[in-house]
Amino acid sequence: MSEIQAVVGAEAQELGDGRTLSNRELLRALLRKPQFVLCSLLLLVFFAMAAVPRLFTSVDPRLCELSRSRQGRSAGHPFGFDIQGCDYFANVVYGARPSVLVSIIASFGVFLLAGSLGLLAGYFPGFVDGLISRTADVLFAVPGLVVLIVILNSVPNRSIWIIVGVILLIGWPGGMRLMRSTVFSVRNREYVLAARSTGVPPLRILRRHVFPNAMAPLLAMTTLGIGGMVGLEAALTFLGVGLQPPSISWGSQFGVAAAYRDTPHLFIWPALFISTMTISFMIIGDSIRDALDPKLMR
Amino acid sequence: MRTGEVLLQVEDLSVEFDTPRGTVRAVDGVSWQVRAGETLAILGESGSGKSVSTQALTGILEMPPGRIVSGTAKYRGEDLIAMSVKERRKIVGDRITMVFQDSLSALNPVQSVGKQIAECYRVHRGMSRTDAMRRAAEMLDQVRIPAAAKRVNDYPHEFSGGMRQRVMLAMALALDPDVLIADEPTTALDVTVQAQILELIAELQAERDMGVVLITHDLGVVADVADNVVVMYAGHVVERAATAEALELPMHPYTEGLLGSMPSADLKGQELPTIPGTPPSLRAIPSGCAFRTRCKLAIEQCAHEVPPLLTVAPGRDAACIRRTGSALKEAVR
Amino acid sequence: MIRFVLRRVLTAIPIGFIVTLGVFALVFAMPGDPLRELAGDKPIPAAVLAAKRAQFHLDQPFIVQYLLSMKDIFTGNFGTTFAGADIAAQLRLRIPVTLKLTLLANAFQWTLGLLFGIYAGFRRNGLVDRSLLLVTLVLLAVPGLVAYFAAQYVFAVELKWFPVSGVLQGFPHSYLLPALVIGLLGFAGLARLMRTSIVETVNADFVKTARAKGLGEQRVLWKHILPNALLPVVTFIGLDLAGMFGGAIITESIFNLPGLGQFMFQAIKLKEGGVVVLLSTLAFVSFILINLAVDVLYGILDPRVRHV
Repeated sequence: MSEIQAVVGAEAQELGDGRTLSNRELLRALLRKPQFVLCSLLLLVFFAMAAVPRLFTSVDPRLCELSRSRQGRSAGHPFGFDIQGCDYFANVVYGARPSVLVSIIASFGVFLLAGSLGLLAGYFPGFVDGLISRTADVLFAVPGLVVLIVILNSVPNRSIWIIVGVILLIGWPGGMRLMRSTVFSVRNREYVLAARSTGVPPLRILRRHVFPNAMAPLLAMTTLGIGGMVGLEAALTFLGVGLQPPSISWGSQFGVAAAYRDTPHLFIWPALFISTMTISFMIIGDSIRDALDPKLMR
Repeated sequence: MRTGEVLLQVEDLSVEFDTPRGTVRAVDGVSWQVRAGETLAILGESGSGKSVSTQALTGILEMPPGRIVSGTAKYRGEDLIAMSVKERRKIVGDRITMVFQDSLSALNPVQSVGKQIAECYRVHRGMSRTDAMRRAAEMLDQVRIPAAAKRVNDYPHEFSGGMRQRVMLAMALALDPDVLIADEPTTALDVTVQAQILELIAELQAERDMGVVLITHDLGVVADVADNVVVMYAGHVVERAATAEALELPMHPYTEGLLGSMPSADLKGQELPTIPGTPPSLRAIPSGCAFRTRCKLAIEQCAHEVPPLLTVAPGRDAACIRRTGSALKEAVR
Repeated sequence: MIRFVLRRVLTAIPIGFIVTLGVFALVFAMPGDPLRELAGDKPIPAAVLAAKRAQFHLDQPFIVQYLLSMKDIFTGNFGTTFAGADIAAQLRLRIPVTLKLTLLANAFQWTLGLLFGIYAGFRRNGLVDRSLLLVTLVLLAVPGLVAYFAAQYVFAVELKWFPVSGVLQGFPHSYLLPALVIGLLGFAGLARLMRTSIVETVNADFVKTARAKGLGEQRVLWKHILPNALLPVVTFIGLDLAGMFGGAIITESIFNLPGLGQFMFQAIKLKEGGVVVLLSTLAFVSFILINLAVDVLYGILDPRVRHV
């Protein structure tokens, strides 16, 4: 996770502080790219799958016949069956929900948290900055996955919300640092000085002047990181500290697949779905970053 | 007029840029020349093509997106533009050298200044490392950097702006070039430091009988040091004259406007006159005379044809149909 | 330089204290009694339980437990796991496994990353550059879990080029596949960073100066562009290596490599506070050392941040 952040951070650092496209211009620039349109459509399908899985399959994923355990595909069961003899297609479809929910909510949450903390740290040097930055230093110094596992392992009934909460707790330092550095470059711009000199209260300056002009790099980093969140959720569930049965998720399907290597379809289908989803998120993030890049805007 | 040998002669140089929104012509049919011992100023606002023309002929322009459409740039009769990159490298950097505006970003931040100067001797003269470093220290001394021998090992960020520009000069003059192209060498500096640097250039020029091409947007600098001046507007040369004459009696309304907007004792207490409007975007240059939208002399006819650069008096050319008149139809290009 | 290193080490001490204390508190806060759970359904005599409790300091209040663990760590008296294995012996077995995996993975990552990154940066918009951007985008997007499983299935189970899991075949054969996959996933980020950095440096003014000096293209690239373009990549080393330990938990459990990541995971599962803190301390110390080395290296490469 931190690796992607480092790369994206460096690539996003160049995004214009001070120059912003209007939302409509941004959308128009994006819609001109076929890969963006394609990936958005794919994601819409996944979102629909997460919201109303019944649209895609009428089979109950928990209706199982042990006698059909690990059977291959057959009429009406395009993905075959899992070890319990449940329809695998229905299971994979129902598995979209936790991935979509965790990745979207956690990314949005990290964006808000990292954004606000970065704003505060960048705009109020001294005590506030010191407090936030030192906390970030501490969080940077421990392997994030270890803390995630330790905390989640001590929670007996893990819901999507708890997983999101713990990701929020330790996931903000990277984005905070990026935001802080862009705020540093914006805080002494003329328009901020002008607002300050006319007595605009600090919070309003932050909200109306600093944030809109400093958010582009963090936005790009966040959109590029959504796919990583999908993978993180799956990894946690695979390690047994994420979602627990009976919830259906791609991560737990990997866990099962790992134990039954001679039945590759158990692995292939969730892997295909999860990769399509993360790659779509990545390409969308990449397109947004390109669209925000002032060097390409001329 | 100086009568030294013509060192660098640029003729009919045109440069275009390919941008996502179409082709833009940044330099259009520009001609000028510089003789030994002469200082030629190229005067113009940003976007007038003054820097692009010199970068194009020395081959340091990013190509693509830049592209030389036409023209020649002859150094002692050899066309720099037509020759191979390898041949050009023997001239550019050795016989023709350049100084840039922002010395902080124009010097390599992770190499000591001595090493950067020594590189010239090593590459073009094949000197040994120690000899090259010794020469570098001598050069720093020549551009009056105090304690030069000690400072060769310092890095660019450890120098002040003026001192850094001296380092740039030392690097450019290390090989005793015939022509120095100084691209806004003093723009980033304080006025006092600016004067020192210009003086230093003039002194070193006199010692070496070197031709200097001084690119600037500052008419004051032109008045101080230039023998001749070429005024550029929107990629075109609009006026070419000896500095004294141009200042005395500007021919082109643009030059006139620039002169008029110089603060002076006569104008004390009055509002400073300015040229109305803004320079055109290269993407939307007005038809005919590019300056007509801001020109108080403009007439209907200015919109129809690009005014040719015509000789109005010996050594004086201007591109304005209102000023050159129909009597002088002799094109000078 | 020595003062700089000392200052960094001094500032690391309070952070290390907070980190280890935090991790210990987290493990301490886990519900349930680890010893009882270890024993399963068998009833343990009260006296044995009490003796075990005393051995692992579990009868002490939280802060004393923490201090005793730290004392044990610093005196090198690591003791045994709850199950009775000698921790020092475990470390001797496991550190080389993780180290071999990490070093091999990094060797792949850096060779590939620098090679492709530099080439693509110098020849941008060429075929290599375009395909690199596409390939790395996909590599960055594919979840590690999927990549590890897919590689394991295709190259080990089906093609049988590599062992499926474990370290029985020794170094390097057992490590090649996981290291290759880790290296390939890491290469994507590195190559992109290197390329971006070069593309940005190419437009710098000092590159124009170098060209104006009449230097050959190769000299401009290697002597002027690359030393500057490498700077952001150096800071990447620290982040990258620091993330390796977390990554080891997943890779070592998928490929069943008996390294530190696996040890850590088991310790967390069994609520062995002492082991978790020991391994966290180890991770933290290596994090500090790596960052220190990176800072020193950066100072050597960039005179602007050189410390007096």
